Amino acid sequence: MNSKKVLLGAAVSAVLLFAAPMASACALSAWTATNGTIIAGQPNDATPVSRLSGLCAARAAAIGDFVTDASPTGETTYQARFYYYTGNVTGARNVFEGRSAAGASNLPIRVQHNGTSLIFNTNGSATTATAPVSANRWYAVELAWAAGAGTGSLAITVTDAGTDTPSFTQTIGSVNNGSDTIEEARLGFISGTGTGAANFDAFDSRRTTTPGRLCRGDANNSGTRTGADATAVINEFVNGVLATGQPDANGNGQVVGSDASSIITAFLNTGSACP
Amino acid sequence: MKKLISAALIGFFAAGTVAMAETDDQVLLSLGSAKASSALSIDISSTGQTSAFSFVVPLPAGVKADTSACLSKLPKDFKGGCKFVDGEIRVIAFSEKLGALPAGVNQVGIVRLSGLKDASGLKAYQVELSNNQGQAISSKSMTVQ
Repeated sequence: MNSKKVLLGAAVSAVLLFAAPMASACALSAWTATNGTIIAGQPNDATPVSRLSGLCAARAAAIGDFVTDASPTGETTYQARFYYYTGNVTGARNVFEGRSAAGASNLPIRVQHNGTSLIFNTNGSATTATAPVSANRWYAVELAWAAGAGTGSLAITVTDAGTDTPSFTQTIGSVNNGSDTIEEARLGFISGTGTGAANFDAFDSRRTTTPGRLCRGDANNSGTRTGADATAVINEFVNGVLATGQPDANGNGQVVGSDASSIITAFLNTGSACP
Repeated sequence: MKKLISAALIGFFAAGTVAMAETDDQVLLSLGSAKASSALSIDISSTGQTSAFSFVVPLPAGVKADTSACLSKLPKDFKGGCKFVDGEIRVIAFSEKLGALPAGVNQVGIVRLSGLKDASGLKAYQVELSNNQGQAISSKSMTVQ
């Protein structure tokens, strides 16, 4: 990835995509560091990489394949969003970590995938949140973390990328994490066990504002869902012209005719405005 | 009778908008009456680029719409749908073969409206016509009553 947008004001300022600005190879260069053999790619590469948004995404295939964002510095509030393609994995692995200076021994945010669920933990609370997920689907994962002596919290929202409505929401509250800060984020197969590969896309982290979800089915990235988006889907499927927005409207990891149908249905149900 | 009205409307557009059709891609709405209901004819003026279109038509309170023939005149490679919901008609279609409507005025279909007393505000919103690359080429519409 070589796109890193710095947001002004109170933002943590990491919008870390995996796309090159032009039709060139995808890259991970905007991340602070990469570990293992995590790759950035796109659907028409020799080894296709399914993406949710834009042209590229990252793919992890082994434990230890991850990227690091060192933008956070002493953050006492932190909001992050990323899209995760579950693949068909076995075992349990950490796929996202919001880390303090203490490293793995004290994780303010941990997201684990065990093949059937995303499991959320936060240092300072014994509560675990478990969101069921299916294999081979894209999900939006939204996190809002705050430190506090008995008043800290981690709010979690998981949304199947083929829908506009969250499938799971939970807030872990009354967290005793007053001395925690977030100093680093990691995304990928950070640690754990098992086999299989999964994809990551559209990571966005901020200090106070909510990144929100991307507009499902806005294939041409116009900010609306119209007939043009259905055409962009067909153009990608027939001619291999990758759509620059979010063409995988049903979130199954492929851009095919059913995505055009999903866009038509979304327009008929809600009009052209993105939810 | 209904066919005569529709033919007359199409004839109007074909005769009266030739110059416009050569330079503009836009949605054309025209209203005629057929006994107890009104027939809202939908046409697209195309320069030969229109591969997809979508728009909504808000209706006055109490008006009901039958959208079963909304896309009935489109070429067979055009897929899409019409729906009357939340007091508005939503129309969307695209060519699954990445084709385009021929240059000129193209019939799309008819929506039957019942209970319409005042048609003065009838207009298309959220209009987008686009080419076979998925790029918007026009947001124009025109209503003739």
